[in-house]
Amino acid sequence: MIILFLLIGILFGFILAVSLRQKKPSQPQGFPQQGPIPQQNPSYLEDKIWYETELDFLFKFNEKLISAFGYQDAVRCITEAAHNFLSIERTVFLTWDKNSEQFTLACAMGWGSNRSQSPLVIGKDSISGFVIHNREALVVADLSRESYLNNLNKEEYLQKAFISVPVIYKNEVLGVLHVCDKKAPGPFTQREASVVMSIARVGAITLQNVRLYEQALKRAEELRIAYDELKEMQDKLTQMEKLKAIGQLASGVAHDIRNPLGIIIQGVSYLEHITPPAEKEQLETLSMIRDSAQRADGIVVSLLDFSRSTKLELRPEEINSILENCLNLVKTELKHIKVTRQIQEGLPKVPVDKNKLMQVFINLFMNAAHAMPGNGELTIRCFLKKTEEVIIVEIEDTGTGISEENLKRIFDPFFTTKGPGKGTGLGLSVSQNIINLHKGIMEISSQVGKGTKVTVTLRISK
Amino acid sequence: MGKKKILIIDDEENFCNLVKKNVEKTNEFEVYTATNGDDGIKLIKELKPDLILLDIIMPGLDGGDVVSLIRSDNSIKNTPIVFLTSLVRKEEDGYQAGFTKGYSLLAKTVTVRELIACIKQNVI
Repeated sequence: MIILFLLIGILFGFILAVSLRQKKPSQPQGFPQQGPIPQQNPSYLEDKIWYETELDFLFKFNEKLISAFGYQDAVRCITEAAHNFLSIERTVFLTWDKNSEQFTLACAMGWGSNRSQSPLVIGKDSISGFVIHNREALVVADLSRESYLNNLNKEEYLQKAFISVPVIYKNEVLGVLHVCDKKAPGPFTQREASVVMSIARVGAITLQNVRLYEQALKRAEELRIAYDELKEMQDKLTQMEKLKAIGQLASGVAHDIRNPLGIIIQGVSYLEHITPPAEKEQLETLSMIRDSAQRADGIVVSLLDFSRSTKLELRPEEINSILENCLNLVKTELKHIKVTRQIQEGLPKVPVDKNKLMQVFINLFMNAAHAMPGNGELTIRCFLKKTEEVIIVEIEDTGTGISEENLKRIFDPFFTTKGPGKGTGLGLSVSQNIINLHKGIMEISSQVGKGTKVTVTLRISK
Repeated sequence: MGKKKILIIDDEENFCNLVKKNVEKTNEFEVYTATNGDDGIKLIKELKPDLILLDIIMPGLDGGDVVSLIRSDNSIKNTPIVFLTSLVRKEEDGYQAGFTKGYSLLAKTVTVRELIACIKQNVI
């Protein structure tokens, strides 16, 4: 008895396997409107096994589709499903763009690696166009015999037997899915066509979702960029307002503070002159008073720089000689530091405000010196970037470096990491402002423990 | 040959007096002071100084007015002038704009040594 059941089981299995692989011969026809698909005299068990296989396949396909990452991945998943389920020769997915009214190859399987890589664009005067115009599947046994399709551009990759299914979501055409077989003895069966249609229906929902998701992501990205631009603009405006306020304050304050400072410095000088050299304590005290007055003067000077960093007196100058002048002025501060020059000779003159540019370079050299309290190396490069018509000045030190957090605020007025009395936090913001006025660029990169590089880009023409 | 005559015109009386003391200690100069533009002009005509140290921002006649008056009077128009001001950097004696163009500029917080060097350089 058991053996008998086993034999029956094997027999049904064999019948099913044959029916799945074989295309039954049939007249060419559209599906489903173009006449009924011929009955194949299916037995109940055969049907049951078929439906279970189909259900199982669609279930797995669904699972896979849900986890698709992005539009392209979803298209590949759909194409792959149709291709693998029917074990056919070629499967192609074309995306429809309603604006340009064209199809673009989105995914192809069984088409040779070379062909599938090249972009393929097809107009609506094609079989694909015919399918999406009719909004229904087309099932054909032999394309070459379909006279009613003759006036259409028969896409070169379409083979003898094929199913073409529009991929539509809520009236919106997303694309078309073709499955083709050259070697098939006949057309695809109704069941096979149903599976391809199911794949297209389920696929359409996912494609639409993915498309909306990608659009939302794109919109979010656009919003983020717009926000960043606004933020940057606002920061610049705030910075300008700060500069303006500081500038107004500076001119007023400079006069009122520097007059008494001048008196202190002159007074201390006089007292130093009349104090006998033996009175060391008195002389030390006077020296401290003078140093403090000069420190206060330094702060006033920084404020003055703010008030004046708005107008330029441009004259053609040699950047190399400005750099040399500045190095000469700060040589005392750089005496423990190895200075390396990588200067390109014969550079064209650049229209700059010499005094202001000197202020920038001196400030940068002093910062480098402060970052290398023991010793270190300062490299100064100056070269022409012909393609962009700019001269680049790089000032690189091997100092303590600047943390990423501090780097973000490095150009903020009054931001300083130097100790009290050692910096006003105005140097770099004034310097950047001066370079901006020259329509140049000042950039800083740094690594903690390795050093800092400041790059100043100056345009050769005004 | 007698000492060179320096006139300082500045509304800060204490500043004038201390500059006088510091410059005179060199024994090379005689320093006179005026604390406003009107007094300054009178002294220039009277003393015919070899150099004027002139403040820019002053009540009444300011530094610019004083320069105009000097330059319009043939008897004193060639007197050298050094501006002493709070509105420049120490390094900026090259900063030249407006009526200060062509003149030396010194920051008020200048050291005595720098001040004397500048006087020697500009005095007739």
